[in-house]
Order: sequence, then structure tokens, then C-alpha cells
Amino acid sequence: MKKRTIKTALATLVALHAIGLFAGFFAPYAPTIEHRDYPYAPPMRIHFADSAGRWHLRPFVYAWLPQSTNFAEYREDTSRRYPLRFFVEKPNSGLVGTLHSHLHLFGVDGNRCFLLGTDGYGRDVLSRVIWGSRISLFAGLIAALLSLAGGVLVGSLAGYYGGLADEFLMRGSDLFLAVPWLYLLLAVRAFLPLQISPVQAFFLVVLVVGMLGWARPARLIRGVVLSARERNYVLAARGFGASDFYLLRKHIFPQVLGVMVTQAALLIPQYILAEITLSFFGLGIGEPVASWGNMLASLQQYFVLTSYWWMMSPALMLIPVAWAYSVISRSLIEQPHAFFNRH
Amino acid sequence: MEPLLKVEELCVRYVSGERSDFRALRNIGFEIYPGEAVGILGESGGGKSTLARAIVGVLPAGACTDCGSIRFQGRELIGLPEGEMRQIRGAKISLIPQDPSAALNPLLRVGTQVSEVVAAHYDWSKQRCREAAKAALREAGLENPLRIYSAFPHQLSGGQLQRVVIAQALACRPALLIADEATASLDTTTQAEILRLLGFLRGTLGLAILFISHDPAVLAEIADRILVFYAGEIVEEGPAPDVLNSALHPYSRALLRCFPIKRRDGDWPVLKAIAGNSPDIHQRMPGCVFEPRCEERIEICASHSPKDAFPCGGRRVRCFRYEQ
Repeated sequence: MKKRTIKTALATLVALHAIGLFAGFFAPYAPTIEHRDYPYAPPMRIHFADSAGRWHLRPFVYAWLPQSTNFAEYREDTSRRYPLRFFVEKPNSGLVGTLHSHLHLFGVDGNRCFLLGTDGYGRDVLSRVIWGSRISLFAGLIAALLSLAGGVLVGSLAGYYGGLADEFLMRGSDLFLAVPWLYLLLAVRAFLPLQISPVQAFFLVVLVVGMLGWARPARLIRGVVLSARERNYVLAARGFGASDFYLLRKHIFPQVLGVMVTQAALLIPQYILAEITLSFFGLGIGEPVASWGNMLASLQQYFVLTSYWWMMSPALMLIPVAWAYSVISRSLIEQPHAFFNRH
Repeated sequence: MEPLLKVEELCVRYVSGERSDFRALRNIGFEIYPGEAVGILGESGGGKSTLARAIVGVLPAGACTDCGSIRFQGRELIGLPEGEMRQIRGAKISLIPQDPSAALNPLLRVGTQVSEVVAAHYDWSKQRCREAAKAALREAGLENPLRIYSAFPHQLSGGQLQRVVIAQALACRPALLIADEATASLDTTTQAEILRLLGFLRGTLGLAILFISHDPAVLAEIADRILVFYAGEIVEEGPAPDVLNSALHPYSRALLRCFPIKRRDGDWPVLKAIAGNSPDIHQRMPGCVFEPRCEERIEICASHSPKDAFPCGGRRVRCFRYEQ
């Protein structure tokens, strides 16, 4: 793979995570603001030329005029141009908190701005995709770290001590590998109360997804530890009086790091999908908080699926995410020197 | 004088894994006195390294000490809790492993690896451990300890690495140093330097050395006394010059015929390989372990195991030819 491809993938991921983290700045609206008179408004077109055929340097949009004849039908009101402005100040985010900024990347003066249309409640889809990425991307990330932590713990104990501990831990991981995870997730989630706050729901999803996935990394790490502890320098350090904990931390853990990074790159997109699946079924993060999964849930209604294509944009966002992670995990496996070699 | 290390009837056996039920050491008994250098001679697979690892209690997975005792400074080491054993490893008994280039972690600076041996045994500040490590590096004959301290293993030569490992071993002033083929991977001139260094340190620090080698010439250089190992048994013991010049056991004699050592009368011996191979580890035959390859076997050798015989001053040999 070309170095440029890897760099692009890394940059994509960094950018997506940064946008999610600073959603208050990048999103034009707060995720819960409803424009009730604009349900299912289509994405506004960005124009350079006005209806009279005159060209303008600054791009602009026309306001949507709701049609009284039909529900959710709109026509462009070409009587007035609304130029796009960058770094606009709008105290309308409706939420307070450090990450909710008054400054927004872009917006228009005197009118609404729906670059990706709105949903049935008139909420801006672009804003919800951006706010939702914070939930979906980070749920995958945190869950992957959690199951890697479990995998490292179990794998190193099993590989280092061997014998009975090894048997016990590895048969336990077999059990987790044998159970189909989606059904287990549904069962665990069904077992817990249906109505919980979105924050609780977030941590619940992360916990469930993360705790179920430790088995595969644990197996791989066990294998690495098994060969690492037979290295001569581990034996030598033991001969000089090093403790087990010291050996694991200083001599064995660095050898496990490579596997951990590769596993993370493989697990994170899987876990992002897991969160989306759960939220899609209404078992993950609930309304009104935005997550890619619960945004897609409205597509379960046939008329939404057929009439309002922009409601699928969270699914489109998965493409760059999945692509970037697959590029990174593949290149980590095939050409690790691209990451770890400083020369 | 009280021996520093006294090993009696030591047996090591593999209880699991592919070498299951293989008796790696059988009835090993010997003593090391303070300040003495004892050499262990034998071909590979004879159990020399297993003995070294058994003494410091770091046997490979699946192996365990079956019976016998290892007394160090009057204290029994077999059955000692891991925590107390760790206080002895590196501080009282140091094991220099085979191949110095593999004995150092390539990811850590060598200085760190020396100073952490000190840190493992003393509650000293980081600064003090670092100073002790630098002193140990200087003591091990490295001219520029400051530069070596911050170098990575791949930046050093084989001889320098060996000196670093020696510094690790000596940083805590052990009473006994076990060197497992410590010079086998070095070229001859470096080998000589390392041997001279070990001899010098033995003189200045009053260190006892257990030196394991397959090379009689190396042992002739450093050892006071030699134990000859074959298939997990000590077949002969005696003062180094006696064993090297007039070996008693047929195996010792056969082994020494494989090396070009100038004899006392000034002649060079005719080199001769030992017929056959080391015994199959899974096969347990009655009789003497060397019997299948021995050129001097008699009838009894195939059916009975010989006992130790003590033919003359300070010598011991396990062969029927010397039994009365």
C-alpha cells in the first residue's frame, strides 16, 4: 500500500474524531433543536448563480418555501439570497457546557441553513450526523480499549503462568467465542431496564460491547506472551532477580504492543457497527440524543426510506470510517515499519 | 572450610511437555568453596545448563527438581518461597546466560538494564542505582561507561555486550557467579579478554565461579577443579590439570581426544571423534550411561550402574574400572 494512502486514512480518522469532539463548533445547530415548520426539508442547494443568471463570488442558499398543497414539499424562494458565512456567532445552541460553543464554523444570516436537509421533526441532519459521530465513533473506540484491556490481562496471565490458569482462562474465552455476539448483546440489553438516560445507555452499550469482545485479543496476546517469555533476555532478567510483574511490564508488554495496535484497528470499526446495530434496534442510545444508529432507525418506516434519501447520510458516513480503519489495520499487518520505523 | 554451595543427590526431571519423564539430571553432587572456580565440561545436551538453571531456580517450563538438596551459605534453596529466592538471584548468585546478544532486551538501553538489577535488590534512589550501574560497567572493563550506559544493545560489539552482562551479574556483589557458556559466542581474542577479566574479578572480589563450557581449553584457563558431565551425570571430578592431562573416565578421555591440547610430553594428540550419539532422552537403559559408546566396556557395564569411586587424591570417577 502506498504511504500516501495510509496518511490519507490516518488524516481522515483524525479529522472525523476532531469534528466529533468539537461538534459544538462544526455543527450549525444543536442536535435537539426542532424546526417544526420544516419537516423533511431536502438539502439546500448551494448556488453561485442567482435566478437572474448573475454570478456571485460568495456562495449562497435560497430559503425553502413550504407548499400548502402537500406535506413536506418545498420550493426555493428565489426572491432573496442568503450568503453562506464562516465563523458566525450564534447563541442558539440551546445547550450549555464547555464543548457547546457560540461560534460556529458556518451559517447564514437571517435564515435557516439545512445543508443535509432535516428529519421529521425539522432537526438539521448535518448537525445530528456531526453530534452523532461523537457518540458512535467514541463508543467504538472506548469499547475496543476496554476489550483490549481485558484481552491483555487475561492473555498475559494465561500465557505467562501457563498450566491450570492457562487452561481455565482459555476455556473461558472459548465459551465467549462460541456465543454469537449479536444475540448475546440483544439478550443482555433486553435483560436490563428499557428506559434509561442517554448517558447511562452510552456506557451500557460500551460496557456490553467491550466486555463481550475480550476473547479474541486474549487468545492472540496469550500466543505472543507464550513465545515472549521464552526469550533469552526474559530468562536472563529472571536470573538476576526480576519479579513476575516487572518481567510482564518491562520485557513482555512491549512485545504485545504491536498485536494490540493491530487488534484495535480491527476491533474499533466492528464495535462502531455494533453500537449502530443496537441503536438501530432501539436498544442502544435513545432519542433525542443523536447517534448514527438511532438516526437510521427512522428508515425502518417505508416512506422515509423511499422519499427522503438524505436520511441515509449516517450510513454514508460509515464508508470513510470503515475504509480508513481497514487501510490502517491492513497496513499494520503487512507493513508495520510504515508506522513504527522512524527512519 | 564451610562450602559456599553444596549440591547433594540432585535430580531434575521433566514432568510435562514433549520431553515428559526425561531425567535431565541424575544424582548430582558437588561442592564449591568461597573464591573457587569450578568448571563443568561436557557436550551439549548433557544437562550442564539445566544444572545452572536448577541452582538459581529458573528451570524451563515442565521441569522440576525431583529430589536432592542445594545448600547455599548453609541455607536450603530447594523449596524456598519464590519471593526469598528472588532476593538471592542476582544478589547472592548470578547467572550469566548463554549468548549475551540475546540476553539483553533490544528495546531498552543497556544502562537501564544494569541499574534495574540493582534496583531489584536495594531500596535505593534512581540516582544511586544509576551510579552503581556505571561503577559496575567500569568494573567490567568497559572504558567509556557513560557512553555505554545510554547505548542500545545493537550498538555494541559482542565483547562489549558480554561485559555488560558481566556488569549486570556483578552489580550486586554476588558470592557465586554461574557462567553458562559465557564465552562460546565470542571470537578467540575476546574470549581470552573475558576470561582474564573473570579471573581478575575473582581475585579482587573473592568471587566463586561455576564456569560451564564445552571447551577444555577455556576451562584450563580459568578452572581450579573440573566436573565432567555426561547425560545428566557427573562422571568425573578432579583438579583441573589432573583431569585435563590424565583423565580417568573413558568418556573424559574420549572427549579430550576431540580437542587439540598439547600433551605434557610435547606431542600433539591424534584427534578422534566419539562414536555414536548422546543417549536418546526417551530411552532409559539399565547400566552405565556411557556404556553404548564406551570403548572400554566390560560385562557388568550393561546391566548395573557404577558407583562413585575415589581412586586418588581429590579425584572421583563413576566407572566400574576404578571400583574395588
